Amino acid sequence: MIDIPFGPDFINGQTVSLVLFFIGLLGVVTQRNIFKTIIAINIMDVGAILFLLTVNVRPTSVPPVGSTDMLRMADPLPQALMITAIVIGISVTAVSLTIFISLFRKHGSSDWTKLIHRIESR
Amino acid sequence: MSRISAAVLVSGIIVFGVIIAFELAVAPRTADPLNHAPLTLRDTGAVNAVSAILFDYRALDTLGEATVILMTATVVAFLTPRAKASMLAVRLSSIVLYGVVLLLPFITILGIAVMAHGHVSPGGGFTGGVIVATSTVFYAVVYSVGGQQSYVIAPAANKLIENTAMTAFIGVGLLGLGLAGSFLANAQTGIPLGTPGELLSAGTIPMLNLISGVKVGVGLGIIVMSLFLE
Repeated sequence: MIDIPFGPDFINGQTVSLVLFFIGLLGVVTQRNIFKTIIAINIMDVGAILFLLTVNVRPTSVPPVGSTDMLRMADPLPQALMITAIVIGISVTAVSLTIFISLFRKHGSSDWTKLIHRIESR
Repeated sequence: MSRISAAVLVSGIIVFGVIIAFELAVAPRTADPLNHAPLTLRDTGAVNAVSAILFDYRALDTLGEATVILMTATVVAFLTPRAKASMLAVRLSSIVLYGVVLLLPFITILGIAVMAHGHVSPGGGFTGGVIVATSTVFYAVVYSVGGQQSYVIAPAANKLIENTAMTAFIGVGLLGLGLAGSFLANAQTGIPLGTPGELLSAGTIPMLNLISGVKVGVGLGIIVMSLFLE
């Protein structure tokens, strides 16, 4: 008999972020609407950021800004590097939305399969 | 659901289970990884450890990040060549029109204050830049009459500011290269670090905060204004 620890400790940042990431992956694979695909990529991005922010967190740590208790400060490295991830997420969303707008304007559909069919049958 | 998506789902669930099992099996951590937080005050003089890492230890990454924003603004502005934004041709009530006039200076000043205090309090160049970009977007949404965009800063000036900020960032890096022999060096160049906690302290970190804040504010403004143009 395996004892599965489904307690309050099980729902932490790591498990939630993994679930978010795979929800986003499912959206990328199954959705036919391009706009929903872009939203799913965003959900995957959020999952990755949440995972890396919470992977080394301790419940007793304090924010790394101006604290006198040096040894209890949270690790500032993932927080600093996740700004990069957020900025790249914004950039990917903006560029893909722009390309989606011009594709929609040219071919008149937001469905992947219809778009590919129309482009191939020209 | 097609066969590929089923395969991806199953493999994802397997990976998820393996990671959770590993997490539960190897639960006690043996050693703590190196925490930079106690070192940053001594090395850089910045109270905000995140800002110290972003603009001193990993400043080259931040330069790359600024390049990503520049490139995105370029690509988005290139792909939307239209000059009319029909989604902005909405008449708003006078409450919105006068409320935004009252709000705009406070939003801009808050953004500049967050940029300038990036090394002594939470925030920094990126957060302040996003707040400044908010004021630009507010103005465009409220005062664009009949689909003609109205700007706080003209597009040509936007371009000039963005390029100047990028050049200034590289210039600060070259200053470190000239004085200390390493690109984007801070304390090694001999710039006085000052008293930690004051507005003028931490060497080049406040300069880089302001530069990246201006860059992010203008860049996000360009991106959002271009997306208004359908």
